[in-house]
Amino acid sequence: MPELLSPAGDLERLKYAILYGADAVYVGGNVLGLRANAINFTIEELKEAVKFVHEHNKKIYVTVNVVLHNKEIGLVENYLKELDSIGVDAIIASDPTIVSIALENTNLEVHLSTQQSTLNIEAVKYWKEKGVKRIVLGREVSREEIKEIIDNVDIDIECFIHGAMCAGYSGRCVLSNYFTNRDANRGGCSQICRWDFDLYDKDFNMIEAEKPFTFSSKDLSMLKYISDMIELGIKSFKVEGRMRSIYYLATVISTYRHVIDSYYNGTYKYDSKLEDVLRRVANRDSIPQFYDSNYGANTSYYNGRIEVSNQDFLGVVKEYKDGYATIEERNYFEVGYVVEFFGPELDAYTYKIEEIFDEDGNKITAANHPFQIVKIKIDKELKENDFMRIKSI
Amino acid sequence: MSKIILIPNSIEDICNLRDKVDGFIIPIKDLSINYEATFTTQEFKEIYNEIKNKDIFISLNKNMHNKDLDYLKNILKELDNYDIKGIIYYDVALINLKKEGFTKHDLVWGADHMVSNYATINFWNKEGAKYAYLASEITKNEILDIKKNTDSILMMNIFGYVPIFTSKRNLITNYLETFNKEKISNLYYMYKEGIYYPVYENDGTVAYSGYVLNGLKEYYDLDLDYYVINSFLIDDISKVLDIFNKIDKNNLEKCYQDLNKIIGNTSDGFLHKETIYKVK
Repeated sequence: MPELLSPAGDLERLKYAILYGADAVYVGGNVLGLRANAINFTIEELKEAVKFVHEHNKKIYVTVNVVLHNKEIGLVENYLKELDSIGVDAIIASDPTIVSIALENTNLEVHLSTQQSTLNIEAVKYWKEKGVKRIVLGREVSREEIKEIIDNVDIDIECFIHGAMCAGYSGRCVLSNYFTNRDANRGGCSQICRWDFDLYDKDFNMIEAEKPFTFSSKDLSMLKYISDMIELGIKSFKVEGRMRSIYYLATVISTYRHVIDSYYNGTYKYDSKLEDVLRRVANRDSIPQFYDSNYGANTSYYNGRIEVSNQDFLGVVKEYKDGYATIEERNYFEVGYVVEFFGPELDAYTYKIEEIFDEDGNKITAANHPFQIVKIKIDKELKENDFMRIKSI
Repeated sequence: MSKIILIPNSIEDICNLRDKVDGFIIPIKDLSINYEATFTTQEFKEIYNEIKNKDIFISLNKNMHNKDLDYLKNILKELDNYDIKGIIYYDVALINLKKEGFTKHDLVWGADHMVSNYATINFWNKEGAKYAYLASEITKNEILDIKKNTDSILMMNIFGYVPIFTSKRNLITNYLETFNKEKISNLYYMYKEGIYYPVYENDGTVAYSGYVLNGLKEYYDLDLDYYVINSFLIDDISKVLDIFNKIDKNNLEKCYQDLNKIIGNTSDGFLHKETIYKVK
């Protein structure tokens, strides 16, 4: 069975990713990673993360995928040794210096980052020879190319299945450096590819169009190809988004968990309703893209930077006792809302809210403060960390 | 002494400008990216006699897909017939093919923005890349530090527009198609806050810096083996080369200013400006 690999921006997100079905998580340490402006994990937090993940018989990988400058060279060896000593299962690296230091000085497994844009058999053969255990292929590979690589080189292959796409080849974009002085290859990417621009032709005549020019791409969703990807022999299915919310992770990970498990227990059938579930946490349209060799006009995204703030996520179940669920509110809800509960062991349970109580047992009509603790009466037995989302109002 | 090599825009450029440069970077059609002009091996064969006394670097710097590999192997074997200094590569496939005996030539590690530290330059040197083509996003001090800590032969962009984004997607075509507009050429400009950024699309999309890099002031301080001039969109490339040909330590500042005058839209890029990556 392929591994379902989830991002995790912090300990809370890591725990939800594991609880909702990830086989492994990848996280950034506080140095040498490509999300310098995410919260990231200190060594102490990494120790706790390793403990939690291993207690659940899952794996944890740390991204060390920065492109080095001279002054960072000296940091690498000690940091990698520290990661090794606390029991991290693998690092995800792109700079060959980091790869070689890890292979020569630690017992860490090395996964080659997509930042290397590995797209062909010869490059994969090279890294295998060097001792790399797994290659995260560039997002530009097609299904046929993945198959050719798997058929020709005996090495673990990891592919992205869900999340945002770079518009350019990973590593070959420094728009961020030139527009904002933030180094894209050292974790400072300011996503200039999502900016709007005016477009002019070669004679400096402006192209007048309904929407402005942008490099922006739609997001990736491989839901309808999961069975095909399993049959190709891809070893790890990666979800993008270390800065995404717990609700996003719970929704996406539990959906793909369900699909992968159903393939192996013989009940798999493509269900377009699951696309709707994924769409509810998406910022943009999501499509397969390069896998089916499609990178034409319908893969570009021209809706500007208006990204919808998701109000679907209503709350987290903190406790269930005597027919009452204690909920920590995340978005406004009120009596009469039809909601859905889902969780690690709960696919989707629809329920119309009839009564809401505050912490003191007083009846209220709405939960309207973020992180407000309320209770609702519900006969269905829920579990801690189940989520409540909107079904309809 | 440093050598000047030119990225040409055409065969005519090569013939007309050969006496003003020490060498050329020749991008090969379908195997290179970030260039306006690429050349078939037949075209290369035809011009080779004109420039064979120059330092010739062949650029095979695109991200290779499986379907490119047979063609790439054939080109590498064909290039064995020529006296060239090195082959510029981005994709690690080239290193593997050299190990497998597909080329006798030296390799130039030219992974654009990633050629940013001496340890990784030394790593590729051990793997067969005798040359390194430095990133344009590192500082003068970083370059000097690299120079001090490597035996690799170094080259850097010193003048011209700098590629800052490379995509497999045809992003101009996608946009024009979406809004029912006609594509009239491969060259467009995207505009933001008073600056035009050239965008060139030809089986993939390349965006360039909004200024012409002019690193001439550091010519002697850096004293690298090769300086690269990119003629893309430079109308007065012959005049630019004339200035490069007359520089000495005494007139460096004047030559630098003369270049700025004839081009107008110049910058020394990141030579004196360190990028940040952690926003406080």
